[in-house]
Amino acid sequence: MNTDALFIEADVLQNAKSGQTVAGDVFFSHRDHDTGRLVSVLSDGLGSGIKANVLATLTASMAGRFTQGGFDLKKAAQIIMRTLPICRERKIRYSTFTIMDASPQGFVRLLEYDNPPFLAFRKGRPVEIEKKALPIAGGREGSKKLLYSEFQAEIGDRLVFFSDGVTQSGMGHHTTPLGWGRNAALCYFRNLLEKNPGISARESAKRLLARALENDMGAAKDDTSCEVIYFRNPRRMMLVSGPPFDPANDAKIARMLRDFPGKKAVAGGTTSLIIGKEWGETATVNLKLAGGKVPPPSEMNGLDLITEGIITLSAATELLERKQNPEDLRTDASTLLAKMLLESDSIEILGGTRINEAHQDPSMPVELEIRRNIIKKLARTLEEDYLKEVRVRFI
Amino acid sequence: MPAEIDIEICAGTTCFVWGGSELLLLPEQLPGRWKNRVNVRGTTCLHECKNTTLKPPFVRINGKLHGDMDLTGLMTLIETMLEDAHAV
Repeated sequence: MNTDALFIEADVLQNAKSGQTVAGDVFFSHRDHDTGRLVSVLSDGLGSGIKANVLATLTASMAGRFTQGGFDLKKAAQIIMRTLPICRERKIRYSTFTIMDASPQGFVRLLEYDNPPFLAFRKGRPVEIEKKALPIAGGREGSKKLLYSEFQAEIGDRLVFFSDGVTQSGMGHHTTPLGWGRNAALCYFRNLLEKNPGISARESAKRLLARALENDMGAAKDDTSCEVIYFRNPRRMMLVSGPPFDPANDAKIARMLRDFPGKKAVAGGTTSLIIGKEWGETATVNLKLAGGKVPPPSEMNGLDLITEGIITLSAATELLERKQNPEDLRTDASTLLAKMLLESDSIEILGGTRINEAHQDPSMPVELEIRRNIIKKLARTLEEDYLKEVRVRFI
Repeated sequence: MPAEIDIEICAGTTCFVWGGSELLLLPEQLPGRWKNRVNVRGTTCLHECKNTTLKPPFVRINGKLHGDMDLTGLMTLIETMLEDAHAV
């Protein structure tokens, strides 16, 4: 398999139990940017609310860190079982988990304990991955049975992990007295893939959770969480922001952007003028989107998006840091940029370092951060919070 | 027939923070009777940030640069220009 063309897209979404501000399901996801290895853990703590969240956070972070550190998965699970505090009311220590360790070549190892069994899809059809029972001593509560599986993923494969809030949604309703069930979730996901073969991890997780919430009549009866892993050809994007330090490089960045195989965005008025001059094109500002906190976006032949520079980059970074869904906000240039970034897997940022003296004027009514700092902050957020592959070059 | 008045409003960073955000709402403010006579467009940057004689926000009207503009001032200017054009 050509692994250069493989990207493991992962996205998690969750709804806390109605009335709770904190979910008792916790995800730990980390992509090692040097090796490309992706470790992801979903843990469901006993009960709901803060207590469950603490248990699940402890479990997810231990499982994640042990796996990242190359620990044997069985050994890691054993340590977790022995470490969890005992619940005073129920006299058990408990937190479920699903651990996934995926190499950049797509070799996947999975360890499951008491979460609903994960779903796997190949070419849009459900497949069952062979699992091996792994009994481990669980201390005072007796032995526990874990399930281990491993397989080589192919481009187009998907894995779906969810907490029991999804499978038990709708419980007590006359059509689903025992809850929606794993099989119904599987059929729903299969139909979703049939209708939308290229659907992203994010969108498919969102749809599944929306359906679970619908089963609960809009008020989740339990924490409901879903993570979708999609082994795909990476969706590439290039973002150019700021004029190059040396104007002799203007033509170079215009050429790099023109030749880039993927989505193309420019953030910066002067930058867009440079690209337009080099390409022989003119930008048109979309005044219909004026009136917000950021200047309106523009359009130009050959580019997917043009925005103003520093204010818009800061606003997009801020909404991504706050984990806000750009689709839930009023459309402006920053939400369009954030959406494009979220819909990309591999993002290349070209940051121009020429300083606009007008932005450094202390009498400016707002404080404008240095572009380089905003770009670094944006890249860090995309890598750490959204597991994107980001490459930044300052020119 | 081309519009009598062509207005370019700068949507760049400096102009935006100095009040250009309000100017970009001009199309919504134009009275219906002016709409065929005035063409409003935005530009990603008029590249006048370093202008030492005029202050942002900048607009260019029929090729002439105007600085330190606000929406009321711009509406008055358009009205005067249209009246002058009518008088001729």
